[in-house]
Amino acid sequence: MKELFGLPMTTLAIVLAGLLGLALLSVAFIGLSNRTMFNFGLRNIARRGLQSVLVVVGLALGTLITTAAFVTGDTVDHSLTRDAYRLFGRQDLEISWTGEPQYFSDSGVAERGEQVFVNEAVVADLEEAFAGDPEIVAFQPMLRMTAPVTNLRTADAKPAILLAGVDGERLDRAGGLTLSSGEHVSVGDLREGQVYLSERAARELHAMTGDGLTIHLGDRVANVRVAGIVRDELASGVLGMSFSSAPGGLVLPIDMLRGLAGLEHGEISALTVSLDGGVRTTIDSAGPAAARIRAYLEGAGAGVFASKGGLPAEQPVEVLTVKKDLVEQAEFNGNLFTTLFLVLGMFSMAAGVMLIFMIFVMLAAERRSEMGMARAVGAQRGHLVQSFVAEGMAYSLLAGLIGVVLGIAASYGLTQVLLKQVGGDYFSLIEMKITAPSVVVGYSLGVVITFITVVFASLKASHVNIVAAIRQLPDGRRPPQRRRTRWKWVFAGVPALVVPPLGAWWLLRKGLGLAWAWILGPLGIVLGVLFIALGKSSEVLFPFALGVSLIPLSAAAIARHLNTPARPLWTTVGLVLGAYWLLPGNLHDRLFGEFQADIEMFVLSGIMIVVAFTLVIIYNARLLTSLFRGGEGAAAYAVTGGLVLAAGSAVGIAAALGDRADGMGELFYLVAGLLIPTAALAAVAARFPALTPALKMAVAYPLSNQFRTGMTIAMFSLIVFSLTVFSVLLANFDTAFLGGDARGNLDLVVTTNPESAVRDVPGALAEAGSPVAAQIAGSGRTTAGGGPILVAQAAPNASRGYYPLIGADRAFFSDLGTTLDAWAEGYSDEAAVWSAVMEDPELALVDGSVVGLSFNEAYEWSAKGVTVTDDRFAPFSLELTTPSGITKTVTVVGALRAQLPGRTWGGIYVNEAAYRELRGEPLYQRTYLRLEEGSDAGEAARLIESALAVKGVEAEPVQGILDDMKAANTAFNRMFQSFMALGLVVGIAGLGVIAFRSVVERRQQIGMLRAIGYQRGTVTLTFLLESSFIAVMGILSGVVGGVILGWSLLTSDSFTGGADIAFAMPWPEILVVIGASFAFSLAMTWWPSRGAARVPVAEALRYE
Amino acid sequence: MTLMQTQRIEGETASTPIIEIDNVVKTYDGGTQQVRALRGVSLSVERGEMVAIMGPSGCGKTTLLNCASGLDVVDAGTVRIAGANLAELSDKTRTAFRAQKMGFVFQTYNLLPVLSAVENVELPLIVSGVSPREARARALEALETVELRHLGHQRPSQLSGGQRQRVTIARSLVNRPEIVWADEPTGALDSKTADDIMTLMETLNREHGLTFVIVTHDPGVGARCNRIVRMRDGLIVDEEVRR
Repeated sequence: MKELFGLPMTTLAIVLAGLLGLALLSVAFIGLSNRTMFNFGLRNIARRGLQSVLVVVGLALGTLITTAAFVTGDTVDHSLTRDAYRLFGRQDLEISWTGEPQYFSDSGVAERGEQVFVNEAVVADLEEAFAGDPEIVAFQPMLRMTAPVTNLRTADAKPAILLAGVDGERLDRAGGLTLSSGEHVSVGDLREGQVYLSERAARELHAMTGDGLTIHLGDRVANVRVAGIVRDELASGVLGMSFSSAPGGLVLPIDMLRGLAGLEHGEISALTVSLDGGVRTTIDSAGPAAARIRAYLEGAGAGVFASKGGLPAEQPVEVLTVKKDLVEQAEFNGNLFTTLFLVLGMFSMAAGVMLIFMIFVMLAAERRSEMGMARAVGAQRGHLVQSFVAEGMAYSLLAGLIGVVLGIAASYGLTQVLLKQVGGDYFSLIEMKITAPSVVVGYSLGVVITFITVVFASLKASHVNIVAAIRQLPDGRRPPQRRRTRWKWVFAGVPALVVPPLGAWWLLRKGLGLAWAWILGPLGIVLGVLFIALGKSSEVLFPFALGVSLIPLSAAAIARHLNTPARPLWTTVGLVLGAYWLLPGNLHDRLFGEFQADIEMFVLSGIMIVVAFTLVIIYNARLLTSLFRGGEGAAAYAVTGGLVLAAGSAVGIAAALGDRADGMGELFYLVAGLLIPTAALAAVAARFPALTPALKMAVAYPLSNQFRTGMTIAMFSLIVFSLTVFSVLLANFDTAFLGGDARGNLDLVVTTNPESAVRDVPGALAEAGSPVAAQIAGSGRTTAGGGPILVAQAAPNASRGYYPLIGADRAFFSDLGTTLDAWAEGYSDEAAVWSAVMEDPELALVDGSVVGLSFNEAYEWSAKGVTVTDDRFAPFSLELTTPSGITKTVTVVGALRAQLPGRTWGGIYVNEAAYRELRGEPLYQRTYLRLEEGSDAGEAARLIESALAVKGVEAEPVQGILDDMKAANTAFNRMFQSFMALGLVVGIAGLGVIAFRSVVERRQQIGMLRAIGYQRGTVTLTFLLESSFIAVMGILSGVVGGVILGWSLLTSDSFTGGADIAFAMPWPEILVVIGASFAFSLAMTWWPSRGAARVPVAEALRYE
Repeated sequence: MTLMQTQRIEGETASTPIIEIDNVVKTYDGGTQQVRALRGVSLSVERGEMVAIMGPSGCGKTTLLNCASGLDVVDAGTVRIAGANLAELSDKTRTAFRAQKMGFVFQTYNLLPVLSAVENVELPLIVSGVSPREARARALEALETVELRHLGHQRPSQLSGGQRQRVTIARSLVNRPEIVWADEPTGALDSKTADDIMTLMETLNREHGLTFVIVTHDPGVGARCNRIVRMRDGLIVDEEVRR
């Protein structure tokens, strides 16, 4: 990976290593200047071995997450770039006369509908012109054609193998071809009737060296023999990345292919350029070399493609830096991946920072009396900070190393195990890669974040009431400090305002002695207002929503300072924040206007919703103790009964709502899901009154330390929230885009290669006597897209880009029976739209991605400003311009429902007359079939291929295509979810820290409980229940927040682009998240809880 | 049976000493050296006695109380409470025995801060399986005895030191114990409050026949007990019968 957030990784590594160095220097300074406090810190590490291990594990998690993100980015980057280099080999530039690169073919059958040949004479001209160019090694003319090929030994037939006719002598100048064994071979060595087969084609045909093959090229049939299996690359006819479905290649001398195809005038269909250097060393020279060729073609060589190549004079010729572009695209994708990982990892890192903070605050709590003693004998607060910083640095240096190792292991698990296991062949190109800058950045970032957090935690921990600390009494509320102005800090603070936080701290806090609330409160309010204004003016949601959130938080800080009671104050703030962030998207749009938002909103919304929920829980969860009522007989079950009634009502409402009201019924099921276990808990308390004190304490004890419990709940909540939102969104998108509707009523897509004689698939099947002919309920044909054409959307939206134009026959509109997802206002129904487009050449349909109803991975362009509401949109115009300059304007009146891959299905669909105006006579290469009810599409595809494969026909079941897409999506999603789930380890470790600490803090109480008759099991249960309370609150608040936000987003038109998504809860995934989080939490806290039960009673009672 | 009617352990006769400690040895492992806290202590306490155990810090007073009450196990010797040899009881039985027959009062109160006074008091009953309603009634009765019924719903943090210690005493009484073990019960109190607490304990001893074993530094506390047992270096060195 070379860049992150636009910064070179090497620079980042140097900067972070520098910061790490500064941190180390500051610790070294402490060691040299105050050895006693340095030792005080370090020697504490050895005092409690187990706790130290837990601290190191907790601190290692941040580094683990950053390293895992970087190494995974490295791996993806490396795998994609390696594949790009593999694809091009020594082919660096492409000279194109068709308006698009010719290297990429992602479909089962090569679909370049318009083969435009030029004469080979242009190559000689170029070679002469660049004879003296030290960087240009060879011009590589090629002739490519697709044809059905049969392996005579195995009888395997493939409807499309790309025949690559190459010039052996010229190819040898760039190293020739490479056998699977690694040996270089030359096409010039092939004897009469021999060919090389690419590895991909060999796999498809189950062929090996020596096998005889039959090539069916139009009416011609040729028998050839395989002389060797060569690696997949452009020169061997494989035009696609490893994960693409591009056909395999067959290499033969160019003259032999011309002879097979009946071409007699030196035709070539592609021309590439090999530069001096190795496969990976020509990226820098590609641009200048392309510029020189471009300059020649525009200068001395202008018109050579017309005069010698036979191309129309107006046809532009472009020199494309194809290898460089694809490598850069691969690097960009790798960076995007890492960025996404880091953004998602921010949840875990935020939780990790909280954990580090909590660990050090708790370490300080444990040493309170020692710290009090140190202060009593003259140690300054700064000395205590120094000792903690020394200790923290020692922990974090070690934890960083462990984190790096675990991060690499996690990345291995994610990419090499999970991705490949779930994603299958699609991810076979993934190869582990670790680079030094990533490891340095991962380690340094983890350690520096830890260091900064430790410094802040130490500042908090160093506030010790000496007497209370020594006597182990509660600190109580600190008396208000006398405010006085310290002028030296005022004078120092004013110039220091160039670094605002430092200047403000010196001036306002240290100089003027203002309380933090009076500094941060007004600052927060001012910033909030500014952010809101910025958000409104730029129409970006992030600053707006941040501003809206800052204002109540800041105002509450001031109100609290003025002694407003904490509970109503923070509860109100929590409710206000929660209400804002969980506001249904459409309502937010109506209230505040529309905004643009990106993935950063995911992080901000998570943090704010978690803050809101945590505030409400911490200040109100005590109400839960009223569930554990005493009482006799039926009265004891009154609470249970009430809860069961409420749960029943929620189920009733949910059932009554069904799929209506934007799927709100699912939310009521969630409410019922929360009420039922609560009722069960109340029933247990009623049935076993002896558990009542334990249950009450389980709620009351954690709430007696709001800071610690709040942090842990927030940690859990944050991670569970992120997992839940992710699960909800992905499951709903999967259902919406790859579910039953995604087929759009289509069963099969049948593709014929350009040279195939078959144009009427149902007819050919009937002629061949295939049983599939009788199963066809509807069919329609389209062209295969050809090269994309220039599309310009009319003002005011005025978007421009390249997009495929697809011509369709009348049957496509009238007989096929595929469906629309949305259509233009003014049409009475769907049938009216189909009929209109069939007849009117001024109208068009588009695939759903053009109007934002689905995603298109293949093309960037989509229409702007089209709002789909209740499946209707305002019709809009597109001006279409072909490479040869023909222009036509069409009006888009419908969006197709089917969600096939963008490269196959993406396009602007026009009728035959409109297509003829723009691109001439349509060549219908693709036939869509709708089968009779109950037909087996998979079996039908197999039968079609067995009947027509040698005629260049390939059939795929639409559901199969969708299933493959779903599998690939699932693999990616699982990887992201697993990565985010790493954060759960942070929460669980946090819970473990609290549990261990609670046992230490409450040894005396444990002794007392045992003295008055608590059995060991009851003590264990008490502590387990406490941890469970924290975990359950965190998990449930995360789930509830995540589900509501997911629902709010999925029912928001601005988020879905108007796509009709019936909200559904991914219950199994949600239950797994809840169950796994809780089970691991229990497992973690079982250990200290059991330890609590084994505390020797007499020893505990005298413990101080 | 009213609150203050203590239970008599099965098989016990009126003349049997309720506490019989015979040649008890207890050694703590202090890391680099062994600390012999009790070096062969023997002591007998009659039902209804109020005994003070006194001596300098580190003499083994609290260790003796812990061993005698079954909070700790002895290395050698025997401890019999109402005829039952504690060493022969499992941890579970010993715990149940404590819950039903003993009460504890500590210097630092050891109340659960998250529970109210009445909830703290009813805790031993609840864990012994008494129904919530009865437990609450008996807890209020116990608080009545220490004159704190009106503060039953206050949390410990809302009570004064003396009030907290009264709650502790109420908790020690609620299960109608035979013996109340008190470790420095007045150590954290001012002299007036300490005097009130001692008066309360004297009343309970005198009027209800409760047996008290009190570990204390305070000669004033010792002076109000029936007997003072003095310890030094893990041994009983003197006994003084006061009345």
